[in-house]
Parts: sequence; C-alpha cells; structure tokens
Amino acid sequence: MTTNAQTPQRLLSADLLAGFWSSKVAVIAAFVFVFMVVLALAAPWISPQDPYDLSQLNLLDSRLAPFEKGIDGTVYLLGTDQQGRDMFSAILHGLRISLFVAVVSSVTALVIGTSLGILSGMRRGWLDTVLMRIVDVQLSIPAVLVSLVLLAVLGRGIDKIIFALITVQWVYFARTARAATLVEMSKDYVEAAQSFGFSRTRIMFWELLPNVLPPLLVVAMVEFAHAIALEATLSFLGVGLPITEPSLGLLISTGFAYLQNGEYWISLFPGIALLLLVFNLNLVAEWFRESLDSRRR
Amino acid sequence: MIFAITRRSFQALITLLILSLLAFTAVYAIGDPILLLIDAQASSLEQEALRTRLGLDQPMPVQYLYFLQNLMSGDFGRSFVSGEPALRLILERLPATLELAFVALLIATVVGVPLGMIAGLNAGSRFDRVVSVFSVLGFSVPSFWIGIILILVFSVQLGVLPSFGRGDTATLFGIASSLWTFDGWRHILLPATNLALFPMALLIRLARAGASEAVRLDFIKFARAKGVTTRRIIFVHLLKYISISLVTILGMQLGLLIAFAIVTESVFSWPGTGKLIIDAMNSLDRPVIVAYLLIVGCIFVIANTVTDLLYIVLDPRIRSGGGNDPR
Amino acid sequence: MSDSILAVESLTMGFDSKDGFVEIVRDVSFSVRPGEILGIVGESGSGKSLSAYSIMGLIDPPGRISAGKIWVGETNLLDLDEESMRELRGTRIAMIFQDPMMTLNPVLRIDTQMIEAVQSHFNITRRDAIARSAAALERVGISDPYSRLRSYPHELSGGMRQRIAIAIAVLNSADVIIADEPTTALDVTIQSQILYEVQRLCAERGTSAVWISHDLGVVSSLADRVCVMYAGQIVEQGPTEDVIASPRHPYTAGLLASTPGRGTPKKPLSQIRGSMPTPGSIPSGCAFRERCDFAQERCLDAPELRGATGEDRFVRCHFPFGENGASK
Repeated sequence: MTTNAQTPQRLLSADLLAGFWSSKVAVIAAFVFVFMVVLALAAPWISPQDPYDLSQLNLLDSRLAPFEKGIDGTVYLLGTDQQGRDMFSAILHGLRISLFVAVVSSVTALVIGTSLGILSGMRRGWLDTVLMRIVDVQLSIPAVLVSLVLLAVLGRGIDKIIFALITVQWVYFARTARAATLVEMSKDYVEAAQSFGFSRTRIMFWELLPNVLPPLLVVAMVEFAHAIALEATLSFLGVGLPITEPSLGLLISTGFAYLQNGEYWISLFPGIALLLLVFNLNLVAEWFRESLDSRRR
Repeated sequence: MIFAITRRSFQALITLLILSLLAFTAVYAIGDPILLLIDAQASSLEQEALRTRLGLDQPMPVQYLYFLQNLMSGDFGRSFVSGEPALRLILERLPATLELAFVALLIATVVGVPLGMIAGLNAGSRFDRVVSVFSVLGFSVPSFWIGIILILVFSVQLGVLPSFGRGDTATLFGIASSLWTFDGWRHILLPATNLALFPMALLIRLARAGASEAVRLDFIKFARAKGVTTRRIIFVHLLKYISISLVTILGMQLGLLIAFAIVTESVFSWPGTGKLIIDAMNSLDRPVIVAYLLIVGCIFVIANTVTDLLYIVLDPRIRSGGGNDPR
Repeated sequence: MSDSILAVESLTMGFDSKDGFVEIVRDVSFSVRPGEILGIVGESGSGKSLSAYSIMGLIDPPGRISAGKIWVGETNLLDLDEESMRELRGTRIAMIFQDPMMTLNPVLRIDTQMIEAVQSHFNITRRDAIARSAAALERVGISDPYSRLRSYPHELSGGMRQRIAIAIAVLNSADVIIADEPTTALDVTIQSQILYEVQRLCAERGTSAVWISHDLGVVSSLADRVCVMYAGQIVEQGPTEDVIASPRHPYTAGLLASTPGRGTPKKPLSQIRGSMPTPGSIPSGCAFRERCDFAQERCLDAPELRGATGEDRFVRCHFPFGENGASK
C-alpha cells in the first residue's frame, strides 16, 4: 500500500476548491445562497419597516401591488399584504425565521446522527442492528408523513417543529456516517492508530471524523435545504409554525388565499425567496456530490 | 417462487402490525380530544360520559387490544368529529387519491424516462446539463410552491385550467372515475403535474445513469454492429435493459405518492385522503389519523410486494431461478 | 483496390482531450482479399481494437477518425452518412466481440436478437427470419437451434454464446468478418472449436476475415497474412508463414521469442524489456527504439513502412533482420 492511501485525504483539498471556482453554476449558486443568508442576518437593519410592529402598519395600505405608493407616500417595492405590511420587510424577517429553524434542526441532527452513525459503524453488534433497523424503517416512510404525524401529536410551535425536523433528519446523517465509517475502518491507518494504542474515542474523533466529513458535508447541505423546504411545507399546511413566527412558508400560505384575485405578490415573492434558498443550496451540494464521486473513481 | 411470496407476505404482515402499534401509541398517547370535542362550558360529568362512550377511560394497552380486535373485523373506530366510521371516510376518498397518484406516475414516466435517457445518451452535452438542473429543481423545490405557480400561471393568468376540486366522474367498466370525463381531465392535469415532479426528477436521474452506463456496454455496440437502427437500440435494447431497475422505483413511488398527495391535495383542494388527514389532524380526529396511516401503510406494503414480483417477471436472469449463470 | 474486399488506407484515429488530439491508431494501412484471413497482432493498447471499431464506424466521441480512407469494394466508408453505414453493417462487414458474456443483451431472447439482425436489413417475415437464424446456428455447429433460439443468453455457456455471436455475424452473408479477440475469454478447448468453425466458414463461403489477437500462436494457426501492430502503427506485415519463420522487425522477433511453446522446451522464455508506451507519450523516431536491443542513432528518425522488392513483406525498421542476407 502506498503512503498516499494511508494519509487521510484533506476535506477541502486545493484541487477541489480550484474545480469549484471553475464551475460557473456552482459559483453562482453559492453566491446567491450566501447573499440570501446575509440579507436574512441584516434584516433588522436593512428592512424598510419592522413588519411585526403593528404601529408601523397602516390598514389603508393593505394589498398594494408592487411599486404602488402608500397613503403616506412610501413606495412598497414588493407590495403589501392584507394588513398593509411591506412584503419586502416581511420576506427578510421570514428568511430569518426559516433559516433559524433549519440551522438549529440540521446542526442538532448532524451532531446526533453523525455520533450515532460513527458509533454504530465502529461498535457493530446489537447497537448497529437496532439503529440501522430504525433508520431503514424511517427512510422508507416519506419525511412529510413522519413530521405530520409528530406534529399532530405534539401540536404547533417552533420548538415542536424543530423537534420534528430533527427526528426526520438524523437518519440521513447516521446512515452516511455509518457507511463512511465502515469504509474508513477497513483502511490501514485506523488499524495503525489502534496498534499504537490510541483509545476508541481518540480514533473516532481525530482519525475518522476528518475522513467521513466529505460525504457528510454533502448530506448536510442537502438536509439543510430539506429542512427549509419541509418547514415551509408544514407551515403551509397549517401544522407548522404558529402565526406569531411568520416564516416564508407561512407567508406563502397567507398569500395563497389572495392568489385567485390576481393578487399574486403576497404569495409569489416569499416563494421566490424560498426557491432561491433551496434550489441554489442543492445545486452546490450536487456539484460537491459529483466531484467527490468522480474523485473516488 | 411460492416460498418467496409466502415469506414476503409474512414480512408484510409483521410490518403492518408494528405500524399499527406505532400509529396507535403515537396518536393516542398525547393530547386530549375531549377538550376539543366538547363545549368548554360542559360539566366534568358530561366530559366523563363522553370519555366512557368513546372508550377513552380504559388503560392504553386495553385500548390497543380493543383497537386490534376491531381492526380484524374491519372496524377502525368512528370519527370523533363526524361520527362516521373512519374506514368508510378513508375509502370514500381513496379513489380520488389513487386516481391522482396514477396520473402523476404516468406523467412522470412518460416525460421523465425519455428525458433521462436522451440526457444519458448525450452525457455532458448542453441538453444533459439543462435536464440535470431541472431534476435538481424537481428534487429540492417544495412541491406546494410549484403547485401555487401552476395555479398562478394556468388558471389565474391564462385561465385555461381550473385550480381546485375534482371534475365530473363517470362510471366505466364498473369503476367510477373522473378520468372518463373531459372535465375530469381538465381538473386533474394541474395537480397531477404537480405531484409528478418529484418522481419525474427521480426517474430522470435513474434513466440518465442507466442509459449513460449501458451505452458503453458491449451488447449495445454489438447491436450497432449488427446494423440495428438507433431507434430500435434505444427503445428495445436500452429501454428493456434499464426498465428493470426503473420498475422497482416506480412501484415504491406509488406508495410514496399517496403520502406526498397530502401536500398537493391541500394546494388544489383535491377531495382525497390527503386533505382528509390534514383536516383530521387539525381537529385531533385520532381514529381517522390511525385509519389513514394503516390504509396507506397497507397500500405501501402491497405496492412494494407487487413490485418485487414484477421484477421477477421482467428480469429473465432472476425468473429462471438465478444462480445458473455460468459466470 | 479492385482485388481487395476491404482496404484501409493511412487510417489515423484518436481522442480529443484537454491536451489536444491524442493519436491512438497512426497511419495504418492494410487490405484483405476475398476469402483471405488477415491476422492483426499486438499487445493491448497497440490500437488494434480501435482500428476494428473504426472500420465498423463505432467510434464514439471524444474519439474520432482524423485521416484515412476505408474502402469496402468501391465505397469509402468514411464518406457515408450514418444511415448508409448502418445498412452496410451486418450485410457487408460484420463484427464479433471479445467477451461473449457481454455481447448479447441479457434481457432479450436469442431469437429477438437474431431476427432483428435480419429484419434491420431485409423486408422478410418473422417466420423466414427465424428459419434463417436457425440455419445460421446450425452452420456454426449448434444442435437443436430452435430451442436455443428461445433461450436467454444467461442460460447458455460462454462458448455457445460466442457461436451465436458468430452465427449473427454470418447471418446476412457479410463479405468480411472482423473478429476482435473472440476466443480470449474462452477455455482452450472451446477456443480451438471456435477457430475451427471460423476457418471452415471462411473456406466454405469465401468470406474474408480480420482476426485480431494478442496471441501470435492463435493467429499463426489461422491467418493467411499477418500485421504486427505496435504503439498504433503497423511495424511488420507479410504472409504468416514467412513472418513466423523469419521475423524482420525486432519487436516481432521479441514477440515470437516470448510466445510459450515456440522455443526449446524448458528453456526460459525471453522477454521484451520495458512496456509499450501509452498514447500521448510515444517517443519520437522509432516507437520501439527505447526497448530495442539494436537501436542506433539513426533510430531517432522515424522509419517508414518499407517493402522489399519482389516480396509481399513490409517492415518499419532501419535495420531489419534477414533482408537481402544482411543481419545483426
């Protein structure tokens, strides 16, 4: 065996990054996604009004079309909703809520799933059997259905939807981490580390983790987008977030009622924000998946 | 083969039993529907009376055993809300959902397989890249949003297709369906297209991978060396070869689509089981939720079993018992 | 060209890559007369298989033919459009592939795969096509052809599948059959049976064949004439017996010396040192010079494929063996 195969490969090696910069689709997608995240973070400072401060809203300005002038002369870039709320501001704040829910749930699911997956792959035995059976069963049921049933039981609320998302997501991380662990365990360097007398925990974190990270990175991106989409779907169905936490999904849901009158903007613009977020993140993830696949070959 | 069928059926039964237990505990363990069903001013005596009438005063395991026993006799309990048998509510709505899932699967196959195959045969081309991006779109974008866009474009802006409800039904060969009427097709087109996007993206990806791999295989080259037309190579040699793996996916998709239909039915007010379950969840109508989960679980298990058998029929290598391949 | 049934003229074929066009088959010319079996010998990577695919018009991008002519009768195949080329495949030129396990479509029955080969070219009924297929199977020594026709490929042995592939190749009485190492993947006993069938078929029907192999032994027992290929070029060409008896190119000599069963028994086999250069890294001048024991300064200039006067022999070497009594 060559020394090359024994040294753990770098997570983001130079040539992978160089390849990334040469892919137009991936770069643009990544840029748009980062831009959206920055917009969400800066929302309190850049949005024209605080959409949830009722004193700033004027009912007379309700359901104005994009670029229409309000009663006090302000121009509403993306129009207003049924309460006279500026859609642009609402979308910026909606982005924040959507991203917050997705970040919390994905990161938690990543930690739980990866730990269980690596543990399962290293220990094997009954733990592995039980965990993987659970994973298999859950993967065969659509995520929408699992989260719907959970929410039906738990009720509404931001904590409940985060719990439901984590329950749906951890299995993807666990499956990927386990598979990668099994591959890495069969390689020489893990055996070498064991023969040096390193403890299991040390091997797990310092030797295995950097090597199972590349596939996990792809899953993390896909799952992050998935969390955003799923939360939006559940909120649209009316079982997700309460109206006090108006995420993008909830904004689309309220606007849906006005769609038939041709007042498209209340639904459409939050939808476009959602689309940009989810689609671009998936494009980046897709690019990483293909590059990692082609390197493995 | 008979052994395989028996074993699979047994597995299916176990799966359903576990599902029933899970559904029961998940749904019955938490939340008190009494508070929802009865007037807030009602006395605790009235509450207790209702509790006894619905059997909610029994311990959980007893409730589950009653529940199992009733299942055997086809009694899934009555809806807390309407008082109608839960099973009948589901079965009344099921044809609409099946119809929707069937048309969606049809659209997904007819559009997705050729697109994927052409992309795979021209791997790396501009067409291939466009199709790939399209499939990422189908995978990632929430389907309710696509549904909204479809409504916005085709019914609000263009005004060519209705945006909600199911069309007129007619009965043909003893099957009542909206697919027998023009009005029915007009109504189903948008929701079915919406529901079709996810399986379509999946089929595109699989057909693409299958075609780009198979085209490099010797038997395709040999067929070309025989002077067989490109059209025949694609539609006979390649399609038959990759259809075996596609059928597996299609079978599993049918089960999944019924669950995904929850979203589509809500967007398009399609009177199927998905809309029923959302309503039931909002009113904590436990028997209906449990009945729904069990029926969908049944369809899921049956679809997967049938798919496995179909696989045997399609692949000559498995059909003849496998193992005797001289390789 | 009139006396040959297939003539390849200065064929150059390669792949478009990031670093430009990489030549794999370089300026290859040979011809096949009616009823003749021409052997092409070379190591894997010498370009022999891709020469065959070029003749069949089965080169896919990024591969492409950059120069040359391929004559079948009076037609240059490289001038034909795809449809005319398709009509020609199977009727004028046919091909047999290396691995019989891979050449038949595993999900289609043998009859489907044979009938389509007939019906792609002739407007005849399914019934007639079946009769013709059965006759072809019998001709390649398959008993009970009708039950074989109803089988799937995986139900048959490797040797049987290769016979079927040959039957398909002769189904429409092609003038030339191109065989790309068709016996390499088979057991030795099956191999000789297949060789015998092909020899018989060619003799009986006057069919020509181009037999590609890495095994000089196989080619010598079958071919009338032989071309030796090295690094995409033909380095020696001539009647099989003469080439085997007195090779003129050092590579041919080395190849012969390293073929088991040719030297004195128990004497260690000699080998050619080093390995064949890969396309894109072929040395300038004589492609073989780095491995040649006789290389001299002049070998830095690329040698031409030269024929000796009055002989049907060609060699690409500045210092060939045994020519006009000269030797090294």
